[in-house]
Amino acid sequence: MQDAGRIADYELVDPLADGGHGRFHLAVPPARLGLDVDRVVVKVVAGGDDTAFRRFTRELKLFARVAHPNLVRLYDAGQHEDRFFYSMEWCPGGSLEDPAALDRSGRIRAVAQAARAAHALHESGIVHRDIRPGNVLVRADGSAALADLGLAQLGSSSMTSMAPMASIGFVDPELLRGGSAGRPTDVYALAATLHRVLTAQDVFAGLDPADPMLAVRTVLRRPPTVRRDLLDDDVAAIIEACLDVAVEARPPTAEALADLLDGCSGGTEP
Amino acid sequence: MTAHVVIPHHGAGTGRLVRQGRTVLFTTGEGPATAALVGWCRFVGDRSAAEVLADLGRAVDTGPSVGPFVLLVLDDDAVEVAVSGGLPLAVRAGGSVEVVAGDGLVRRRVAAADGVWLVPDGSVADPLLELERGVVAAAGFEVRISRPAPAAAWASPPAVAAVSAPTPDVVSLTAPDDEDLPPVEPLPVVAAPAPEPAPAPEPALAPEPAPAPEPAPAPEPAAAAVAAAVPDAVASAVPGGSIVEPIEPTEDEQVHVQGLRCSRDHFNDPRVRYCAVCGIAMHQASFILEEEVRPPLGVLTFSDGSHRSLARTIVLGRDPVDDPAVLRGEATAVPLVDVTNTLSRVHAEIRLVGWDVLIVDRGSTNGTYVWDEARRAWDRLGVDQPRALLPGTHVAFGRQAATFESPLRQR
Repeated sequence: MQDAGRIADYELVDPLADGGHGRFHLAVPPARLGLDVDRVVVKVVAGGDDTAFRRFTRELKLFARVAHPNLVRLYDAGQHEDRFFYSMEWCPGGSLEDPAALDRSGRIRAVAQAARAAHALHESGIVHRDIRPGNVLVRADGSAALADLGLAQLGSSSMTSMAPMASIGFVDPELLRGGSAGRPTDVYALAATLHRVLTAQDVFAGLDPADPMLAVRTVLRRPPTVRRDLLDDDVAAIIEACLDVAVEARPPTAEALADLLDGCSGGTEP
Repeated sequence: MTAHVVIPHHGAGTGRLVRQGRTVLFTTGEGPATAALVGWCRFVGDRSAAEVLADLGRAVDTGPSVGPFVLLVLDDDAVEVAVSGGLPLAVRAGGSVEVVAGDGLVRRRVAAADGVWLVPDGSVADPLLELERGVVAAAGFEVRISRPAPAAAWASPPAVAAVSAPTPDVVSLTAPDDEDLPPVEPLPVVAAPAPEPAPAPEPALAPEPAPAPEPAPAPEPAAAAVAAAVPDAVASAVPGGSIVEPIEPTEDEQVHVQGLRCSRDHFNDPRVRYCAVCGIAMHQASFILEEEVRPPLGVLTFSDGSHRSLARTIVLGRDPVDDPAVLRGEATAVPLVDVTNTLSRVHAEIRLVGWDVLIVDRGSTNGTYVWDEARRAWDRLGVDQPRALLPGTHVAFGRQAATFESPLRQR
């Protein structure tokens, strides 16, 4: 699969990154979308049969229907030759994978906004399941956009998903033990994301992505570690609560977590 | 061994697809002559290509009264093709595609073919059906051929008839049509401990910004026309029931087991010495066996990092949805992507019995293995002979490796 210059009526400008079973491209949107931006991101994934396409668009539609200001905006989806693709807004600020451009309170605020977006998904019955720094995008104005539902699926489904390795450090170990995904597991992932963004450390240090079996084993055998030495007490306490094995100890909703974080970021939302 | 996978396509056309061993027949004809041809195909079965082809025009009528048909004999090194009535059959070999069609009966032998298809516009593959034997209704079909030596990469077939310019088959996400979407229902909130009532899950948003007056008409006019407008085609061509939705274990499928509670009330395998949840020594426990819903007994992690929780018996394989245990509701089908090309349709089972996790080979071609650390070698399991799995055990399905992990019982 190489980078042809076009897919459907999108003109692909630049490859951005590989991620979650597909590749992202910067693209010029077709006029029919009527957008007031000159760049969008198109994710191209390997195609499949029509059942796969139906499932693919269905997940995207579910996500798009939620329409929260801190969820990445999706435009359309389709298939072209043997590939599936969908287009979404371009966030030129990158992601929290590299949060250097944001100061401490900016980072906390970004995670708080991602938490509000996750809450909106939860209210619509969707578990995100793949919240991690690389999935919290930063817009030109500094606001955050929670991206790509990745593995998100309807909360009603009790199928266990297959998580890609990159995110194992942000997955609630309870999920690996066979627990079901829900608000508490996304709250966990938000807190693990915040920990990484503020300290550059994972709550499970030293997971080797090249050895997923060992990584899963590590996560199952050890409790997560909160680096209190690198964090302010108030934030550390919130993260610890969110990572608690007992889900009753966690903030009950992602929105509750966002409210707690707003109290720490030294400011309200922009 | 060359593998031939015959997949019927759904669509508007009414045809029949017949397979008997290496012989495949597709016909859109009607009437007694067609019935005779179908019957003959089912009867000739596994005879050699030469014998089958010798019958054409001699033992069976291939004249106009039969209607259009395609006959294939799938040999190990070639595909024998006979086409009548102008059906546009495409055969691919070595990267080039040839369309075999013409007036009257056209015969062709295509060496090293790796794909054959007859796909009328608008027809879609039915991935749930793989025709191994018998007759099904079909609008078209495809045969995927994989040969052992120069691994033939299979790409989905290009459209045969319409080589129209690529029109964007798009689904708008900004004005979603809600017809196939379920109603919005918030996730449950875990009840917070007494003093602080959980904030009522008041909807953060207006319930649903009713999508503008009417979902925008399909972006491009071609949608309804000939060019396979895929989204629509999918929605209409596959009538409701034929798509398998994930099987959701329901309440009554929960298994109850006997176990012990640790002094902090965690439910455990009665054989453990330390609580699997909190690690406290179990000798503090009451030793009164209680019956409770069994927790998941562990997780199977594959070498690509994907994992599967073991809450009930699972059947693994390329396509295990038709396994009798799955159909009876006793097990969940877990289809695996066959990256190593070594999986059988139904390959193995991870069986949960009480607190034990057993691995069972289900008669797979390439075997199910358990790593024996003492011998430092793989043990191939006998068919239908269960072996208990301990946490940390490496297993392999064909050449696809996985590890069983469990927090419940330490080695």
